[in-house]
Formats: sequence, structure tokens, C-alpha cells
Amino acid sequence: MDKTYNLALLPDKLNLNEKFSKSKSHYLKNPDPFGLDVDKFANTFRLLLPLYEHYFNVRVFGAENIQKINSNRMFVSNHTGQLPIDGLLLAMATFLHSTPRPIILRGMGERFLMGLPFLGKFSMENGVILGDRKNCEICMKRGENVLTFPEGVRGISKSTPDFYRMQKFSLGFLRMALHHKTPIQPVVVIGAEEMYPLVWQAPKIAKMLGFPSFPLTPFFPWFGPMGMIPLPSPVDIYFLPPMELPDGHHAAQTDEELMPFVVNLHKMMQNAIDAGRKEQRPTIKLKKIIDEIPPKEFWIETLNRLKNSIVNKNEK
Amino acid sequence: MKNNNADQNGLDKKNVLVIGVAGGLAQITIKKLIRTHPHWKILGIDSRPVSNPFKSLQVDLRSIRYTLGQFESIFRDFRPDVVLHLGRISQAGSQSAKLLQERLELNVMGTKIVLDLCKKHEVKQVLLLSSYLVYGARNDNPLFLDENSPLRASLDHPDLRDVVEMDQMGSSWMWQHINSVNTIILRPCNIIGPHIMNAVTKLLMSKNPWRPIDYAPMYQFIYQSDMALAIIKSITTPFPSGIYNVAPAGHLPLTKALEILHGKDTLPFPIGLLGLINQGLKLLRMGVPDYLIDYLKFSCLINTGPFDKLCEQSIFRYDSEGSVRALKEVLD
Repeated sequence: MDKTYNLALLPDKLNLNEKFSKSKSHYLKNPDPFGLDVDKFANTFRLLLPLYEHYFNVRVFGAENIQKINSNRMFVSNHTGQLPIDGLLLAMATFLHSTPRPIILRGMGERFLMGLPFLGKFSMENGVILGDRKNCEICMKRGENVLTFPEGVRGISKSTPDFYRMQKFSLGFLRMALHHKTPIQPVVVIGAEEMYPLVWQAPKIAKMLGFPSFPLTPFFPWFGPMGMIPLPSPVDIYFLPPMELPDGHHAAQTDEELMPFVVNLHKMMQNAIDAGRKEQRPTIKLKKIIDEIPPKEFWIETLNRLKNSIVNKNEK
Repeated sequence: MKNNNADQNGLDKKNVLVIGVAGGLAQITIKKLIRTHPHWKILGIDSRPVSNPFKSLQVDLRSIRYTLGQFESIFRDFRPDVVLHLGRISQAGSQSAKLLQERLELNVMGTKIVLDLCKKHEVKQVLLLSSYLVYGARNDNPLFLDENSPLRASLDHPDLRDVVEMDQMGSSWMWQHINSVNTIILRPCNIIGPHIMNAVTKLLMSKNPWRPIDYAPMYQFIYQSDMALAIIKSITTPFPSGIYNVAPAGHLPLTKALEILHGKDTLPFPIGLLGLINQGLKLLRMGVPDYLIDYLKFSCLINTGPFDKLCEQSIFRYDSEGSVRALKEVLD
């Protein structure tokens, strides 16, 4: 990275109520057509805050880039970690640190997610909308801040050898931003890969089941739904400086004409990831847990004692 | 010289044929027409038994057998200037194969007969009442579907085939005769009211209705009297030939609509499971039409841009939430 980003302090929890009130009054004036329920969002936020603070130990850098925002932006982020936990943490970070009005990011959800029972409803009530161009247009016309992942499913479903290497960007997000003259807010999330550190994708199984992807990890699918619990990988979120749209470009241009801007953005975000990895924290909690596991001799002695007690019981 | 505003003042004499007059919407439409256009002569027909609640010489209601001969006789004798085809048989009834076949015959072939007769007898204006159902409720629907959106309902649900084919036939006929007949196809959102017997109104008005806990579809509702106003406005303005989505402002989650109507007296249930057990529930008279399950899961909202441009939104008394509250007042 060519500049140092300041580590943002976690806002006072007492301010959360004020933030929720501001959001609620905003959406009372402009009722959300997509089903966002600010009360349910607030409840979900409070429920997940301990995970944000302690389990994933999220650090936010560059929060000054999302403060004093006077117009909507298109948030563009890398996408990793098999499940959209990176998007969830990013949305929480944005809500906590954005000013003057706390931003509820409108994530573009995959069709598969929005069609799932319970999860689709939960996503919709917490701000996610179906990732459809028309929906994105409606959002942007309403002045919402949209969160897009230009890598798409390719990004989130990376196998281990591809970790921290951003996949190719599609151009849809740029055309939308150009059409609505919305600046782009790049964000990188580092640490989501380690939530499932050893992953191999099984595309044939995914196709058979109708899923967008099917990751195989040491725990999933062998331990069923329990295998989906992510490891407590510390996450760093970097809000990079917003990018104004390129002059003299418009949404109807060809891919070749728009590609230089996308390549530039891709490079900037990749550089940010590479630099951010140097500051990345290892999964300390996991190390601590591993350190506290007793040595091999303890287990051998324990097993022998157990064996002896069973033998003695049988003899009696 | 013909006064262009004469229609709106109701001074011009016209013969209006209303098909499907036994239905609640048709009766409400006629009641309003009598008031706004006292010089129009109205003939209402239906295959179902019909009683005439209108104490007016202006209105004649008849129950007829839906045969080609009977229709020809009606057109020949009455010579309608305007035909309001509100007579689509609803999907809300039994889902038996026999009734599905009957619906296909009546809705599709019957509509074809009516349109052919309209052409033959030089009817000036035809209005077909379709439905938002034609778009289909799917997880990849954009928030608002406009009139150019593909009609995907019949892809997933053969029992909606007749409503889709009827709509497509009407569109095709409209384009063929665009220079000679003013054809208006209305695709309204959910019409609700105490006199409406479609599947959604039945669900809303039932005792302890299902309340989805695993999905949260958004709904638009138009009250019966507002829909009648929309029909009258479209033929009296008149709208140019075309297809128009019709819905008032606003939309709300189905769960909120159920809460307004029933409070906590609903049956929370995962709708995803309803599909598995619906056949058994139908035997207990607790089931829903199979196609409705998707509409209880996914949104199917319509964009009403062209309708709004031609017609002030203020003609509607209620928005979507207001329509539900109006229904609540009647139920109470």
C-alpha cells in the first residue's frame, strides 16, 4: 500500500442506539421496497456484535474514507471465505464507522441465497437484495449504497491455492456506476480465507446439487452442518480512498474501453491485499487453544488409566 | 362535431357488453358505470346463475350457455361498442384435471371466440382482464416486473397455463387489429375485497391462515372498488391499445398483511414444507392451490409506469396497505 491507513477505534456501544434511530428515521421517510426491516437489522447487529468484536476480532483501517459522505457510493470488495461472512463483517464495519448517517449496505445477493428458506428471508430483512441489474438501478436511484463483489462466485469459492489472489472482475458494476455517476468505494477484507483454511472445490457435486459451489474442507461435509462453523480468523478491513469515475467514459462503452479502469482498480485492491497481509494477525486464539492442548504423554496415561478401570470393573 | 370529452361525461350512448357478470368485480364495475355513464346501455352475461341487483332499465343481466351460437346471438342483437371481458375463470377453485381442462377451454378458446366476434361485429373497444400471475413468482424476479417481462408462470405451473395463454392470445390479437380496435389488456396485482373470490383473497379472509416463517414475499393489493375505477378509467380516457400493469402505490410483506387482518391468529408454518403436504391438506380443506405456494414464497411485484402516466394515481382511494385495512374493516 502506498499510504498508511489509520486503525479505527470501535465506536462506543452507547452510540449504537443513536445509529439505529438515525437509520430508522431515514427509512421511515423513504420506506424500503426490498423488505429491509431496520428493527430486525438492529437485533441481528446486536446479536452478531460479539462475533465481530471477539470471535473475528475485526480491525478497520481507513475509516476516514467513509466518513462525512455526502452522496451514495458503490462499495466494491474482494470476496472470499466460502460463505459471505466477509460481506457480513464488512456491512457491520460500514454501519459502525460511516458518518454522518450510518450506512446500511445493500449487498447484491446471489439468486441461490435469496431462494433459500429462512436464509433468504433473513438476508432480505437485513438489507441484502437479489443481485439483479434492475434491482441495483432502483437502489442507486434511491441513493442507497450498494455492495458488489465483482469477482462473483469465482471469488468466494476459491480453493486454497488461489487464496489472496483476486479473480477477474466482471464489468457490470462499473457500467452501473457510470450510468448513475456514483463514485466507487474500494474495500479489501483480509482474513476471511483462514475461516476455512483448507478448501477444495467440487464443481461436479455443486452442479449435481444445484449449488453455486461445493467446498470440501477437513470438516465439511464430513461433520455435516457443524463442519460449516468458521474458524476464529482475525479479520482486517481496509477502506481504500474512493475512486471518482473516469472522465469521458460512459456505461455504453465497449469492454476494451472500460477495461483500463477496471485493471487499475483490480491492481490497487490486489496491492492493498498484499500489503495488508504483512500486517495480518495469525489465528491467535486457535494457536492458544492448540498450545493448551495437553501433550501426547498425558493422553496415553489417561487412556491407560481408563483401560485399567474397565478391566478392574470386569474382574469384580 | 364529436366532443372528445363526451365519453367522460357519459353523454354519448354506448352499448357495453360485460362478460363474467356474476363475479364481484364485474358487478362493482357496472354499479359505477351506471352512476358515471347513465346513457350507456349495459348487458352482462355469465354461464353462472346471475341475479340483477340493479334497479335500472339501463342494465340487463343474463345467464347463458357459453356456446358459439349464444355468443353470436348476443353480438348480433346487442351490437356492443365496448366489450369488457372480465370472465376469466379463477385458479382458486378445484385443481382437478377435469376442471383444468374446462378452464383451458373456456378461458382460452372462449376468449378467442369473443375476440373473433368483436372483430366481426366491429366492436370499437375491448378490455381483457388478465392478472399479474402471468409473470410467475420466482426467486430471481427483479423487484418490479414491467409489461415487457417474460411470462414465466406456466413454466413452473401448468395450472396457470390458461391465464398465460389467454394473455398471450389477447396480446397477439391486439397487435393484429391495432388499427381498427382499441384493445386494452390489464394485468392487475392482487385484487382483494369482500366480493372477490380469488385464491389470495380466500387465503387472507380464511380463519387462521398460513403465515410463512421461512419466506417473506412482498405483495401489492388493490381494493375491488379501485380496480373497478381502473377499468372504467381505461375505457373512458381511453387508453391507447396496450398492456398495462395495474397496482396502487406501495407494497408490503404478506406477513404484515396477515397481521393487519388477523393479528396473531395465523398459523406460522414453513411454506417450503407446504408443497410436500399440500395434497393431504387439501383433503382436509386446509390446502392451497399448488401454484400459490410459489407466490407465498417469492415476490411478484409489478411496475405500473405506463398506467400511471395515463392516469393520475389519485384515482385510487387506497394504497396497498390501505386496501388491506379496508378489507379488515369490512370483515369486522
